[in-house]
Parts: sequence; C-alpha cells; structure tokens
Amino acid sequence: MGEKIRDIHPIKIGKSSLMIELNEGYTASEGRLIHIQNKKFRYLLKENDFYHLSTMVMRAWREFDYIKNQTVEVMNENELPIRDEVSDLTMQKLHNFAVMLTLDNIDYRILDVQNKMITMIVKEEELSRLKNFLEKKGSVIRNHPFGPNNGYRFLYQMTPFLLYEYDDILFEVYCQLPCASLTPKTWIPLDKSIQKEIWQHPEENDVIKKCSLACRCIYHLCWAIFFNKGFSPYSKVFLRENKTIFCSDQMRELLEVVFFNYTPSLIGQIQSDNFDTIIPKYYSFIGY
Amino acid sequence: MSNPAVIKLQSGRIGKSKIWLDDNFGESIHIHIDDNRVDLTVEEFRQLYDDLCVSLTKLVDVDGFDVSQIDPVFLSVMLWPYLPHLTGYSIETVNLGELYAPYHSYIYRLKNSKGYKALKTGIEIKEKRRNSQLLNQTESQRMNDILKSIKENGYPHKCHYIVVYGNDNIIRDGQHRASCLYYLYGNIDVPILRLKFDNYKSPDISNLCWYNMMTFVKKRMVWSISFVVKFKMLTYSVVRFFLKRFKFAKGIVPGKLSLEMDETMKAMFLSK
Repeated sequence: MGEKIRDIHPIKIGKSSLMIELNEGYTASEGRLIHIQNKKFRYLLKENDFYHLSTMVMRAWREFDYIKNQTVEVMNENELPIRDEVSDLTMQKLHNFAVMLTLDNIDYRILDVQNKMITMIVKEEELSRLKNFLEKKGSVIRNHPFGPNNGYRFLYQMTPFLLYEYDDILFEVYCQLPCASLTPKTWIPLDKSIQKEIWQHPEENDVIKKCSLACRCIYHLCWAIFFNKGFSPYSKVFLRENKTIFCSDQMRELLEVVFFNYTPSLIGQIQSDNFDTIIPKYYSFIGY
Repeated sequence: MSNPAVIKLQSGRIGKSKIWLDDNFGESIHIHIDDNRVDLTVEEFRQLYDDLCVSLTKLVDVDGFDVSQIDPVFLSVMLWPYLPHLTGYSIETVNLGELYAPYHSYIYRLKNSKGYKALKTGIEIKEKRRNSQLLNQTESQRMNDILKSIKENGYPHKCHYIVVYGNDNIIRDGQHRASCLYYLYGNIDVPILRLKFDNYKSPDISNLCWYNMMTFVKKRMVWSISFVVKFKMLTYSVVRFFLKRFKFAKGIVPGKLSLEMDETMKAMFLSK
C-alpha cells in the first residue's frame, strides 16, 4: 500500500462517518489513490476515478433537485374521456362469460367493467387454458394499444397484456396487477403482497368474481398517478365513493409498498377530496 | 417487487465498475456500484453532495477555487478529467463579442452561435438529447429556463460563471447564458471564470474560417474510415427492423389477428 499523503475531508454516507484520504499509488506510474474509509470499512479507488465518481454523484443531486422543482404537467379531468354507463347488455354478456369460465374451471377476477370492455386478471398458469377457451368461442385477438406491438416493455418477467374481442365486448387480460413505470412505455407488476391480495379476498356478486375493493382502488390510483398523470372523472367518482377503505390498516400497508413515505399524505388527500394536488405533490415529494 | 416510481439520475462506468444512481420516489435514493448498493434519504444525499463539494475543492487545492461554483453538469460531462491538472483560477471581465462558442467541434463567434441565432429568430432549437441537458429537459426548454433565470436573478447567479480555459475565449460552460446575455444586453462586459491547466493547449483560432474548414475535413476523414463499420451496423438494424415486423407475438391465436384500434377504443383505456 502507498504512503498516506493527507486526509482530505470527512464525509457521511447515511449515518456512517468516513474519511477521504489521499495516498500514494502502489507504483510510480499508477497515480495517487483515494481511500474512503473508517475503522471497519475501506473503499479504494484511483484519484481520477474518485473525481469521476464524485462529479457523477454531484450531477445526480443536480438532476434530483431539477426533477423535484419541475412543474409536472397534470392531465385535467376535462382532458380525459368520460365513461359511458355500463349497459344491461354488457352486464348480461359478462354474466354469461363468467358462467362459462366457471364451468371450464378457469379462475379469474374482474378488475374493471366499462361499457363494452372488461378488464380481468387470470393466473399465469391458467393463461393458456383461457386462450384455448377464447379461441374455441371464436374470439378475435386485438392489438392492445399499450402492449408489446406498440412498443411497450414488460419488465420483471411480467406477462404482456392481451386483448380479445368476443361477442362484441373487449376483454383485456392481465396476469398481474400492472403499474406504469416512470420509464416511458414500460410496465411493471405491483408488489407481491398486492398480487396475493387479488386472489385472497374476491367479491362475489352472483357468479361474477371481482377483485377486492382494495386492489381495484390501487389499480385506479396507479393508473391515474403513473400512466394518465391525471384523475379521470370515473376514477375520482370511484375513489370518492370508496374512500372509507383508505382508513383501514390493511389498505395503508398495501399502499405503502407502492407509495412508501408518501402514503399518509396520499390517504389524507383522498379523504379530503384533494385529487388535483395528489400528483404534483407526489412528484415533488422529498420527505424520505 | 421494486418501487414503480424509479428515475435513473446518473449512470456510467468507472474503470470496470458499473455505477448508477436512482431516485426511488417516496423510498430512498440508491447508489449502485456493481452489485453493491447504498440507500440514502434525501437529507443524507444532500449532505453527501455538500461533503463531496468540499472534498473535491480540498483535493484540487488551487487557491480560490471552489467546486460548488461550478455547474455539476459541466463538472461531470467535461471538467472532471482536467481537475487534477488545474493550476490557476481567476475571475476576469471580458466583452461578450470576444467570446467564441463551440458547436460539434466547430467554433463560432458568439453572435454567430446557434443559441444566439435561435433567440434572435425565435426558431425553436430541435436537437437530439445531449448529455449536457438535464432529465426531461429539451434544448429549447433549457434556453428558456436560462433566459428566465437571467431576467429574474441576473448574472452570475449562485456564482456560476461562464467558463473558459487557458488564454483563449472559447466558452467551455455557459454558452446558453452568454447567448442570452448577448440577446438581452448586447455587447457588454461580463465577468467570466478562467481556468488554467498544466496540460491544456489553446487551439489556433486566429483564422476561424481555416480552423472550421480543417475541422470539417478531419471529421469527413474519420467518417470515411468508420464507414464500413457504420454500414454493417445499418444493415443489421434494417434486418432487425423487418424481422420484428413479421415476428408473431407470443400467444397470438393464429389466423385471427386484427391490428386496428380506433379512437373510441383508445378512449376506453384512458378513462380508467
């Protein structure tokens, strides 16, 4: 080891105090070395690499500061489309579809029902059975607007979305509850605890098995905050009508795996109907 | 599963190590060095930034030099390899008309620079993303932000000066600021930061036309030599493009595929 030249400056990484120390190199041609160390730990790098690393960290801080002070462009409620009322015909077709799935022993959960479009989740191991089932019924596979054919990536081995048209209804099929990443055109699955919750507490209405209310709320929240960057009229009404669920500990725990330290503020804003401030406050949040 | 809201703040290679920093919204800031990771709160990250500013200033050890007066973007993109060679630092007053603006290896007088022309004509600068831009910031936004900052805060703001090297007046950092100042106030005297290095040689720009012409010739020569490599890469990209087009998506039901998606259907997805 080269001889110590001098101590440069103490730094703190987290709660650990370390000293940056300048040392001679092992050989004359190597150049000087930097030790970042305390009594228990040492990280060694060349002086040039230290300059590079430090400036990289400094730039990261500058980027962080810029992002947090940037004004986020939030989609106005008026800019997002209004849903049509779900017709009795759609509900009847959903009922028939649910009966057929049950007869075929395919487990599913309905996540969202719109007029002429139903979003559902099936288990990954049952996906091929569902595909065969839909093929036998003469359904048409459609190009999902946010699927791989339109340049969207699915990370962490997430199954891409599927879209089928059957009996004049669109069926959007997920295998995991999705969330749009902040990386453009990228989807990731939500935390395991949320994926588990989908299958644990279904709401059964007639034969139709819906996801638990908690999962549906999280789905609409994530869609608004990460994908639309705005709350659609429907999502506001839905969350407003079900805001009592946000008082529960279970819901808080599920939200914490998505929103972490922002969770208390998020719950508070939902309960006081401040939907317009949720997204700007989230993107400028520094309380962590 | 990880936080869905992750933004990569910086990434790069140092030696053989891959390093990246990301902001995990609501959770923490991560510093990754290969498979190792450090988690910091926002306050700890800010403290680390301050400590590194002081450390670099003390390491460089040039009288009067303070790293916190240098824009971190400039520091990380251009200045860091030269810091060990820094020998002098001074703040001087220079006439804006005497400054030169580099652009893609060419050098122009400030009044002929792209930034100043864009301001004068009002034409938006449309360029590919550059490493000197902040995340989600376009070139036009950058210019507008700087123009606004100069109008509100003046120049220099937070001691961030226009930077030149050696004895020449080629702007190394602060081209946008210089263009904005020239646009707003004309040919005035401004304070700049001059850095001197023991290994820096000023380019000979006594004949600017000749300099730019030689740069053009050199660039074309380099391009020609690398033409074969580029041709191979281009061929490969074209083949890959067509292969992707005709590749069947996983799980498709054969024989019944419709690729149409009208606006009504798209609206259904957006109304969630």
